[in-house]
Amino acid sequence: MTWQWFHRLSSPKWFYQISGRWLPWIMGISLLLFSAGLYQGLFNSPIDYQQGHTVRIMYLHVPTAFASMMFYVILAVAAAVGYIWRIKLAHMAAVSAAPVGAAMTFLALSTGALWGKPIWNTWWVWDARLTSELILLFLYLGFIALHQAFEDREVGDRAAGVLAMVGIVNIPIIHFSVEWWNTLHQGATISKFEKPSMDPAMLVALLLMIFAVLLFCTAIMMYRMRNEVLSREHNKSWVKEVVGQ
Amino acid sequence: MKPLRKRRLTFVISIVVGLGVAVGLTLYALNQNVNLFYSPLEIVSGEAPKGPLIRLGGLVVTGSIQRNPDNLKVKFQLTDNAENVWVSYEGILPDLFREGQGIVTMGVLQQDGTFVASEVLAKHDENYMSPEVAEAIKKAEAEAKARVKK
Amino acid sequence: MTMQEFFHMGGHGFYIWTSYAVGTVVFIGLFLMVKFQRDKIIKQLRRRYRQQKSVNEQNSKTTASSNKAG
Repeated sequence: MTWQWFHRLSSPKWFYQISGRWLPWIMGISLLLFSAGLYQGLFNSPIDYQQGHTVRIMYLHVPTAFASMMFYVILAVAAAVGYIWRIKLAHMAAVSAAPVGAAMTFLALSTGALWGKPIWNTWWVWDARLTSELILLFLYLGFIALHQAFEDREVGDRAAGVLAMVGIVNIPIIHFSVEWWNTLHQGATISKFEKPSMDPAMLVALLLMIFAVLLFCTAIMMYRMRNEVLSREHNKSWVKEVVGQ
Repeated sequence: MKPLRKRRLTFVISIVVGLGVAVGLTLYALNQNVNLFYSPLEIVSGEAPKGPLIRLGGLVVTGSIQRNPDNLKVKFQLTDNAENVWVSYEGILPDLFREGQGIVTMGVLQQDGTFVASEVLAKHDENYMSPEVAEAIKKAEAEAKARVKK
Repeated sequence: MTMQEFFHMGGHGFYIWTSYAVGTVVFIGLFLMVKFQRDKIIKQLRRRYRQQKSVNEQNSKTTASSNKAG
């Protein structure tokens, strides 16, 4: 049946082998993109007509904010797949996505504060965008804490998974908060369907950094999944072979 | 799909949909409270309370800024292109404060309809360009305006 | 652009460089944490496998001796 690929894809052993082959490439490309993006963002792009040099914080703020939301979607979808089909690898993916997403949310919030102080004149304001992003951080931390609270890892997978699925409603709220309500935070520039209203040199820097951050986060998530595979499948003979004596 | 999986799938979907609806309704009900600031239209139409600390946001009206040469007191008008509200403030303004700029102020609405601000925050838009490009656009706009006037 | 201008960033150097410093720390931290986690897991598993092996050897020894006796 066509479900065969699904089962092959969900085999921890297959994942461990294929990820081992891909990871050096993903990591290498990510580092290349990082160096190109940093060069473009810090040296080779113009200052903004209103914000001056502070616009350079955007090249770190927007990619991390985007990753913080994307990895939550990955976390919730993985948790749902694991919950419904009882696929072990999906739960491992969910558990591995959480710390990466939490780190990106933290970065988005802290770079946002460092950008807000010179431009808005305040580190923090309780507007809808900033508050919903802070809730996202608590959702990630709640997932991690809830998962660790259970002695039985599989019960923890399911309990924390339900929290992850519930929290998905926060993602559209974060995204549309700047359109639905009055906020201090400005609207989105790139996700508009029109041409982005941004200097081409700035756009290049931003896109390079977005792909660099996404690839790096994917790599970290895959490294974490490999660790989960080893730890959870430790009774399998192939794991014994990999770990060695 | 096996019945057990179907039941789990239904459970997941009902949780997400149910909670989505609940959160959506709550946010809709709280709509005004989620807004960070009142617009000048809401101030003039009397929707904003007089007395408590509130936020007012809008664009600084061109030509309305009156600076006091002796101290840091400043008066300006904020607009949402529907109504204007006078704001007075004493203190240091953010770098981005200028005519036409979107700002958010925190303060108290007076009985006479003016706003006394204790904090001024600058809002910036989602357009990013180099000063040269901004200058060129400004020039082009001015030329277009002059042509229309002729 | 001189070095000094570059680090000064039009007076906003503090905010920009702090942002990038925090970013660097978090990215490197994520990578190092994963590496430490892997080392820890491998160490734990190796110890566990050694224990299992010695238990197995003892079991086979006792079964062998009991077989002899029987």
